[in-house]
Formats: sequence, C-alpha cells, structure tokens
Amino acid sequence: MSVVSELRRGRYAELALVVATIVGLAAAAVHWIGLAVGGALVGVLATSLRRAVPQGLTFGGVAVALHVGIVWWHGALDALFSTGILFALTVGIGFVLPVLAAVGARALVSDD
Amino acid sequence: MNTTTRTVVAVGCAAALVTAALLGGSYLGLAAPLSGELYDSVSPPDATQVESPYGSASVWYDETGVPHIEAENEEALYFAVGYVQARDRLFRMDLQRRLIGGELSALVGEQTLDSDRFYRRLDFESAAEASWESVRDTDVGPSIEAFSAGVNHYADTGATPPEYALIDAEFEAWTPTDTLLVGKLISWRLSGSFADLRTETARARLGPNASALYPTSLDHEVPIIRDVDASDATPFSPASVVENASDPTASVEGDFGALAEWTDAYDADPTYGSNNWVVSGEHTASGDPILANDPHLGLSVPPVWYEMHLSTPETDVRGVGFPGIPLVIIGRTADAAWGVTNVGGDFTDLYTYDRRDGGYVYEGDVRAFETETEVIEVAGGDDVELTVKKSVHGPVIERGGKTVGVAWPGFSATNESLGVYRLNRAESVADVRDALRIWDVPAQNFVAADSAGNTLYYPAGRYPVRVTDGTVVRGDTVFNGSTGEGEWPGYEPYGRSSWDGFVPFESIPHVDNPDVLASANQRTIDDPPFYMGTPATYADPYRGQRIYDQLDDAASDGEITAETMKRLQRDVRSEAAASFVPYATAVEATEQMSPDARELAAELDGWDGRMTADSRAALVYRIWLDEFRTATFADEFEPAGMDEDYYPRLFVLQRLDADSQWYDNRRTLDRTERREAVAAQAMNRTAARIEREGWDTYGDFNRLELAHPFDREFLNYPERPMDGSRFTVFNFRASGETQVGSSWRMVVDFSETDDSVGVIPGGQRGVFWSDHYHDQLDSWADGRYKPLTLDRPEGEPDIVFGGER
Repeated sequence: MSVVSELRRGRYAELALVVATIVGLAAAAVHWIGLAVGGALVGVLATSLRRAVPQGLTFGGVAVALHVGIVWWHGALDALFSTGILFALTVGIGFVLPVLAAVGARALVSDD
Repeated sequence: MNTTTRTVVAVGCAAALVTAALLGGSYLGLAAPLSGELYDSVSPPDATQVESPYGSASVWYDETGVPHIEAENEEALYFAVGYVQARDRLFRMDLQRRLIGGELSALVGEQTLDSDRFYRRLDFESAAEASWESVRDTDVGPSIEAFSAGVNHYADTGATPPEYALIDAEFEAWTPTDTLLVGKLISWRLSGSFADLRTETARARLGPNASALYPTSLDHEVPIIRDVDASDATPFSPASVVENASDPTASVEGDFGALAEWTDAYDADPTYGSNNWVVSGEHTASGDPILANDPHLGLSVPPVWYEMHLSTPETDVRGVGFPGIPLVIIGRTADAAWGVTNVGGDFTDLYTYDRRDGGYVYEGDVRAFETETEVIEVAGGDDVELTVKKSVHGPVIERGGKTVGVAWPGFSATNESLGVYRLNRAESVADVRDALRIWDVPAQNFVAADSAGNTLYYPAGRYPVRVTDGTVVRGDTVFNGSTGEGEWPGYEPYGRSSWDGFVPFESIPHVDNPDVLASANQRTIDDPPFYMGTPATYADPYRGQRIYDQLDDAASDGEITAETMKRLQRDVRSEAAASFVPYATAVEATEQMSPDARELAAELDGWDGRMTADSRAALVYRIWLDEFRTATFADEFEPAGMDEDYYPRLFVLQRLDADSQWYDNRRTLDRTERREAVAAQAMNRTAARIEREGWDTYGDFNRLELAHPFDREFLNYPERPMDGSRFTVFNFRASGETQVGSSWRMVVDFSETDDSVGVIPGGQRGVFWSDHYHDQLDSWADGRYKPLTLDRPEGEPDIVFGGER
C-alpha cells in the first residue's frame, strides 16, 4: 500500500495521474468500459474517498472534451450538437461512468 | 469512514455500473464518447489504401462529394464503385433491397409487416434471381460480381453508417441478386400499376356514365411525337402475333375495391413523371445538339440518385445511378448522352379466376396454385409465415373475396442491366440505339444526342400484345384468367421470356434525328398501331404543352444554349393554372361567392400562372383547384366508398362541359348545379381553409420537408418554401407525407465549351456527419447547377485500390 501512498502524494503523484488518464483514454477509445477503467484508475489515486468524485469527473470531462475536439476536427460539430438528446447521452455517459468507477474503486482500496 | 460504509459504497457503485451495462448496454455502445458506434462514421477517409483482388483503381472526391474513379480494368472499376457506394449510401442500399424483397421487418421491426407481405406476394426476389441467371454470363455479369465484392469489403472494414448503431442492427452481405432486386424496385415503381382495379371498381360503383370520366385517350394535341408521319417505326400489325385481328374489348366487371385499397398504398401516383428533351444543332447557337433531363421521383433522404464519374482505358462516363447498381443510368460519355422519362404505358394486367377446390379453372381444367411458404423475420418479434401463391399468369393477390393474378414484364428475367452497361460505353447515338435493342423493363422514353450531331427519340421497352382466343384486345380491363383472356404470348413469369409476340423493336414509334423533341409522360403518339396505354397511366398534357411551347419559341430564334435549357428547367408557369383560372374568375362564379372568396378570386385576375413561393395568387389557385376537384366528385365518389385515388385525370375535369352531370351536387335534390356554382363553393372553402391554416403565400403551403426514414430532426434535411407544382416544368409538390419532384436535373451540351451541368436535391453522402449530407439542396431548390464534365479533380486520390489478380 505504500506504493499507492507514494503515487497519491509523493513526487510522482502528478505523473501517475497523467499516466492513469492516458491509459484510461486509450481504453475508452476502444470500448465504453474504458471509461470505467479510467475512472477506476484515477479514483484509486485520489487522496480520499471524497476526492474521488472530482477526480472521476475530471477524467470524464477530459474524455468528453477530447471527443468533442475530434468531432470538431472533422468538421462535424454542428451535426454533433444537432443530435440533441444523443449528444446529451454522450456527455452523460462520459461523466457518470467514470465517477461511479472512481468512487467504487477508491472505496475498495484502503487509505494509506 | 469505516469499513462497512466503504464496502457499501463500493458495492453500490459496482451495482450501478453493472445495471447500466445490463439495461443500457446498447446505448453505451451507441453513444459513449470516443468509442460510440454512432461516431464511427465521423471521419471521412484519408488517402486510404484498400486491398483489391481485381487490379488498381483510384478515387478522387470532388467538392460536392462526387467520386471520380479511374481503374485499370472493369472489375477493378466496379469493385471500387461498390466500395464507395457502400461508404456513402450503405443504409439506403440496404433499405431498398429489403423493401422490394419484403425483408424490412427483419431490420426495423413489425411496423413494416404489411409492406413485406405485399412485396413477398409479388416475389420480386425470384424475378431478380431470374434476371441474374440471364445476365451473369454476359458482359455485365463480372461487373456486378466485382461490385458486390466491393460493397462487402467496405461493410467488413469501413465505418458503419450511424443508422445501424441507432437501431442496433447489422448489415448483411450484398449479393448480385440484390443489385438486380434494386433494379426491380425501380422498374416496378415506374411500370407496375393496379390502375385497372381502380377503373373497373369505379365503373362498377358509378355505373356506365362513369366511362366518360376514364376515356381511352385525352383529347389534347401534344403527344410526344406530334406528327404521326414523323415516326420512323416499321409498320406493325398486332394481328401478326395471332391469327385474327378484330378489336372486341373483353371485360370482367366487378368491384375490386378491397384489393384496390390495399394495393393503392404501393401504387405510384400517376402524376409522377419526368421531363426530357433534345434539340439538334439546327437550332442551337453552337450548331451542336443539347439534351436535358429531369426525372421526377419521390424525394428522399438521402436522394434517390448517386452521381459517379467512372473511367477505364476503354470507357469514360459520368452521371447518376441508383445505389446498389454500379452503372450510370442517366448521363453522358465524351461523345454521347442520354436521358429518360417514364413511358406511362400500360404494362400490368390483372386476371380473375373461377375458384374451384382451392385452385382455379384454366383452359378447362382445375389447377392448383403454385404455393410456397415464406418466413418473414421480424426484429424484436416472432417470425411471421406467409403463403405465396402463383398462377400460370404470375403472382396472385387476394382481398375482399377477389383473387387476382398479376402479369408484368418485370416478373420475367430482364436484362436492363446489360442495356445500361452498353449505354455506359456509347460513343454515338448509333451505340445508344444498339443498347436499346435489348431494353425490356421498364419502358422509357429515351432521348439521346452525340457530338457528331445526331439525335434520337426511342421509347424502348417490351410492349405486350394481349390476345383472347386468337384475337388481339386492349389491355385496359381486368381479364378472366380462367377462360384465357388477355394472354401475353412470349411471356414467362419468373423465367426467360422469348418476347416473341411482343412489339418488335423496330416497330416501336420513334424518331431518328428529331430537331426538337420533348417527352413529359404524355401519350407517345396518336392512334398507335398497337395498344400502348390509357390516361390511367399516361400523364396530363400540361408539362408537355409548356415544354413544347417554350422549345418551339426558342427554336424559332435559333440561338439555343445550355442556359436556355436551364431556364426551361426552372420554368414555373402552370398550363393547368392557365386552363382552370377562368373557371374561378368567371363572373357567373364570382357572383355566387362569399365576399372573402370574391376577394381571393380577384387575386387571380391578371396573374401570370407562375407557381412561385412568394405568390399569393398561386396559393389561392392551388387550394381552389383541390377544393374544386373535391367539390365536383366527392358527392358521387364518397358514398361509393372511393377516395381521391379514383378521381379522373385533371384534364378530364378541365374538359367537362359547364352543365356536366358531374357538377351537380347529388346532395341537393332541389337544384342542379353547374360548374360556376361548384367553382364558387370551392372558393368559399378556399377562403376558409387559407384563413384557418394561416397561409399567406404559396410557399407556406408548398414546403420542402424531406425527412430521413427515422424522422429525427438531426437526420432530416432543412425545410424551406418551394416554387413549382405537379404540372410545372420545375417540378415539385408536397402533399401529405409525399414529397416529389425533379430528383436530378441535367443538361448535356456538346458545344466546345461543354457547359454540361447537373444537380441533386440533397447530397452525395448519406452519413449525417458529412459536409456532403445536403450541400446541394439549396442549389437544387433555387434552380442552380454544378458542372458535369469529364474532368477529374487534381492532386492525390482520396482512396487507392491496389492489388493483383
């Protein structure tokens, strides 16, 4: 567990978070479970159970922002917003899955 | 936080996640950011390298998403065509083959069961298989096979269209029969018709007086071939098909209302049509011919047509085709061009039977129907079984106690695909003519021109000669199938027809090298030597009249250019309006109108008959015409259980005498109304309706509202008011849920500057993320065009197909 403690508060805390985020995004690009994987990884790195919530939401936010950015890059942003409820669904999934996974994972791993 | 609480939290989160996955798994797969299937198709292809077993090809997409394909050989070409059609229109291709094959329910569920039952009963699948058997060993066979392979290669490796993600379904492999099936759909829409059922039912319910409403020919003066002597057809006597030659009309009387009601849903509106015309160098500024065509079909999302430019060392052709068929159906090569309108002749016959012992009487014996059990799969539901019956005449349909066999040349093996293949290689009008020799279904009014200055009009197709007991008869009745009435010698449903006994190619009325010739689905020629059709399927003369008037004027100036043709394609003057407005503005009518109505009638004074979106007079006229027609016929037709699908042609209404019995309102026993009274009543109703709907100008009523089959706002096209009507050259009409109009506009110009142009109502790419989803819609609606030359974009290709045999 001290490894975990190190990763949460030590010198490499930020790096760990970045790596967790990248791994999570890579997984999410392949399958929606990746959103939960990413959420779980950043959740485990949270310094407290309470902090897991913003940690998970941030990961979700990055995933959604990346998604919107890719769509914008391909010139389809207007079409994206016009999908209305589907876009809302995308955003919802993008935040809810990671947050649930972050909190659940953090609750399983003990405090250091 | 203590351990118990943490455990509860952990379990709670896990449970929530699992529940989401179980209940919403398909939504997650559909719409999750980054991985969602909905987003697969967001990105257009980069310079993709695609494996191909056929040889090399390259595709350049131009600024409107038209693929320009260059290939080293034919199979490589059609493999690439399959790939790009799948990339751009896969869902639509799938819907089309499923519609005509009766397999829509397997994809979208039980709401399409009635449609599937109808199309399965007619068994287009077997007809398509027969066609495939007949063309697979000809020049076009390998092309169709390579096309299938290309479609499937894309389906296996490329991004799935979002529609499949939205309904959680998959694309099943494409086969050559599917290509032929799409051909059957188009052919059926254009030449299959149950009009005989409606006409027979009307006669049965309205009595013998009704015959005046359904004349054998409309009394106008603009057949396609205006001068009988201009036809270059070889003389033909239908009697040569049989021993005798007199002309009794066999007729089965009867009420086919129940059947007609059912088939109506699948029968094309006879006011659908198209325009085309050709002008020789005699009258053009350049001295070279010019050809124009705008086919009218249902407008859809994505559009019916898909534009392509295809070239190999031997061929170079550009134009539009139907997704699912790899060929250019309307278009041009370097030196030749062709366009089509529907002949509008009578190519469907219906046969009743004497039923006995579960079978039917035929030639003195009792025969069993050929039956087959079809299983219709239903997405999200149970399979449904259906027994499909066939008689010696073809597929059999039953409703309301009537059993009717259906004959249509397209149920036989047909080779229009080979015909189009040859058209794609035409370098002269002579080549076009040769390609048309084998043309069978659907019969089309072809106009053609070439760079050498030749022109042509040929309504190619297979015209059946109906025979009863060795005597030639007309085809505009329902026949008694049991006694062998109205048989088609040379016809073999679901097999290979010899077509012996059909009208020989050279005897079809046609014109070699006409100077000015236009077709708009009106009758081909006066007094043809063989039965061709009736106004049940031929169009009213209004468009034809207007086109000929304008062309005659322009020809007398002798300076026709491509621009002249575009102006004519944009023309919005309605000859129907010119004919009917006097009925609405006659003093005898206006004096019977309410004050509001009289005001509206005043709007029509001095109106030029142009159906523009900003015109109030056009609105008044259009609504009034609707009301006038209903007011005339509803009092007789409605009590007889017949809706407006049974109403006579507009031209018939136009020609009724002012004191015709049909104007009399049956409900008013003490009075006999004349036309003026009906016109007044119609205007009163018009005033009320316009007030109620809050319409101000024609564009409030005549709106373009093209909806995707899923009818979601983000999938539908933008809405807008439109110019044009059913009867104007610039053709558009919206009525109820149908949106119909010019589905492609093309002008081909053989002058040196090659000002050839085209435009579709929508966009090339059927994926809603794309810039090309509806980038041509406004141009089309405003009567603008883009170039249709054989140039291709410069620079690197977008897709490269490589590989060796």
